[in-house]
Amino acid sequence: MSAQPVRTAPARPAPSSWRPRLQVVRAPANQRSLLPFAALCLTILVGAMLGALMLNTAMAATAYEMREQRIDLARLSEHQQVLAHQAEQIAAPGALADAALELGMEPGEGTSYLLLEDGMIAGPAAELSESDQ
Amino acid sequence: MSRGSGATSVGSPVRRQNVLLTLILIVVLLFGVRLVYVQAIAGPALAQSAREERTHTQTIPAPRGDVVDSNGTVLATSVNTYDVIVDQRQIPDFEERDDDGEVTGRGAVAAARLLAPILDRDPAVLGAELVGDNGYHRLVRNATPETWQAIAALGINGITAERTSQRVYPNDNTAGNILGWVNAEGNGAAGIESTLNDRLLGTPGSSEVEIGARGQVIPTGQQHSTRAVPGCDVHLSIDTDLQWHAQQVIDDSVDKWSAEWGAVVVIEVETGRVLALADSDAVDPNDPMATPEQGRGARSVQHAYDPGSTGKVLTVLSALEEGVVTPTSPIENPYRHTMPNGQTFTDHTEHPDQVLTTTGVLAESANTSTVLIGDQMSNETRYEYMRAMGWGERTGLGLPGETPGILHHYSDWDGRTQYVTMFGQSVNVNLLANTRVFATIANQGMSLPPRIVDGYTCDGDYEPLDPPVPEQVVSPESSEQMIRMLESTVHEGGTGVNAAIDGYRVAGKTGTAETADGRGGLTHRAASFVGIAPAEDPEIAVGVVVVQPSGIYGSLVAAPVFHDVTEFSLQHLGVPPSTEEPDLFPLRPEDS
Repeated sequence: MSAQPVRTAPARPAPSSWRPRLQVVRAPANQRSLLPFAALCLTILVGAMLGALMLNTAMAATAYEMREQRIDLARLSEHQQVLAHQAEQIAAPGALADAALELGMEPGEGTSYLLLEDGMIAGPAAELSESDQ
Repeated sequence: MSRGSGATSVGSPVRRQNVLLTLILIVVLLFGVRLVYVQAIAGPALAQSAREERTHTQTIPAPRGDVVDSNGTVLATSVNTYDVIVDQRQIPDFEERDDDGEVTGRGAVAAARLLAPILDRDPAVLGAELVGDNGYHRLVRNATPETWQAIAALGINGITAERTSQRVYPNDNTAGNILGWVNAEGNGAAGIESTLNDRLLGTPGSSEVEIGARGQVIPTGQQHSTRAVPGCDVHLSIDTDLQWHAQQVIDDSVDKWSAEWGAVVVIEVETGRVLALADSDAVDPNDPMATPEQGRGARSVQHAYDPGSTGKVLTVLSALEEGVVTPTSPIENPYRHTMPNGQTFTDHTEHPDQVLTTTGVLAESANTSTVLIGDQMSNETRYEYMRAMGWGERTGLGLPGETPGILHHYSDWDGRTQYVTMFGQSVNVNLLANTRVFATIANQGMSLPPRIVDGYTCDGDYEPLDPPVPEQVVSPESSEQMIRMLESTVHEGGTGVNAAIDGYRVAGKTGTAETADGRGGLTHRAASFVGIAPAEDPEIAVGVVVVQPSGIYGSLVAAPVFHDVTEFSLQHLGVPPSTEEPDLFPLRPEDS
């Protein structure tokens, strides 16, 4: 570096007496920043994606829930079926008769009639009402 | 490409770039080709196979229709059950753990110990069933949903279940002879279950969904399902309470008389609806194999017997309708009588020669007099009345195996047959057909085919069957006279006093006849009683037959059954008691 001759800067022109007339100019309008727009786009994009994701998640969750409910429903309707069948079995005439006998009840003997003219009882029940008196 | 030769060769970046570019292009091209192949060419097929892998097609079983009685009481229904299946190869890996996760038992022994209380079985026997290398061993058939849930909660690997449907009959053997049962494939094998199988069966649906690994439905996936159409419910005309009572009474009677079998039928005369059709020792459809084979059906329609003296009603009715006799016509009644062709007939008990009215002939069930009445009509005329009243044909009730009975054409009647048919022999009919004759008389001479099905409920809508069109086969006047004549049977001097019911007027006829013994002979006896109540405004016709009882007469064996069943039926149906005393025809001309 030292071997090279030192270049001297060209002499500045001597300041002349002319100076450009300076005047206050209006600052150029700041160019609008792209940032808010980009942010908006990003928000919409992310929002849409998140929305879709959440919708899908919700749908999947509902699908799971539906499955659970369906299993529950099947179980309950099976239970209902079993109970209905039990009720039918208990209400069967044969079962009722057996239950009545077990309670000490007896089949009625024949037909008894209440005669409207004189308020008398005819038939097997007549004996019962006599023995009551 | 290098310009200065003296300069160090540093390679041309342009060349390298070109090489690289070419390579990249080739790769991109390959990717592109693959992409086009995967997306465009193989795409649909690949998507399809993926979908198929995810798609789960399930048959939705259509529930079999119920059978209900006239009051809606369920007689036959289906419940979900589970067949528990064990994969014996997986059982040795089972580890029973306590709450702290400590292993407390292993393999078949532990599994059997846990299962035994749920299935109520001996753990040792159960354990033996869990050991082996069978991948599909049916451990339990038709377990209730509760039982299967309890088993599933144990979490034993290798124990799974298949959902099945079991046909159940809550009333046990009440109406078992009518209902029949279903076979292992779920098709009716007997009774109504068999004849109306097509109605009872539904159309299975299917459901096609895309499912995830855990069995959940993929919500955005394709879904397609066809609804299962359940089978129709069948509404029978049977009244379960009546049916049960009738079965009790006929069972008791068959036991009391050590009979082979017996049957009772109750017909609503205005509609022809069968309210009860009871066979002794009826089959329990929940366990049909527990009943001997010959007792699993409905002998009330499947077995024909000689109507015997109940058949005299048809002869006398024809004679009334033809104007040959009136209820009070005097008829000779010798104990023994020989017809011009040499055929001799006797009455059931020896008596001096006497004269009876037509009514007296029926009340005392006189054979010789019946022959004398019947002889005043041609065989053809009598045959036509028999056909018109339903002898020799199936009633078309809709139970399998109904017998039409045997009624030979009159041109085939020989010298004896032409006379014995007058008192119900050499013909045979089933109980229902015989009772139908009385139902026709009770319905002012209008014949209705008996029916046991009121209608169907398909998809929630009840469709009643069209009522059958009645056919006038004898005049209302003859029918009315016949009922009045038959009232004498249950009064003093008649053969059916045991059938009389306090408070109600009844009309009927006893019968005792030889019937087929199943060995080609006619050594068996059938005691019967068929009647109508109340006589002044008939509601029901009731027929009873008891085959091979130790006491042979219908009056002794069958009439009490008629009494019990009819009395219960009238009360059960809310029929008001008769208010007027019967106006009986005289049994002997001198009584009038």
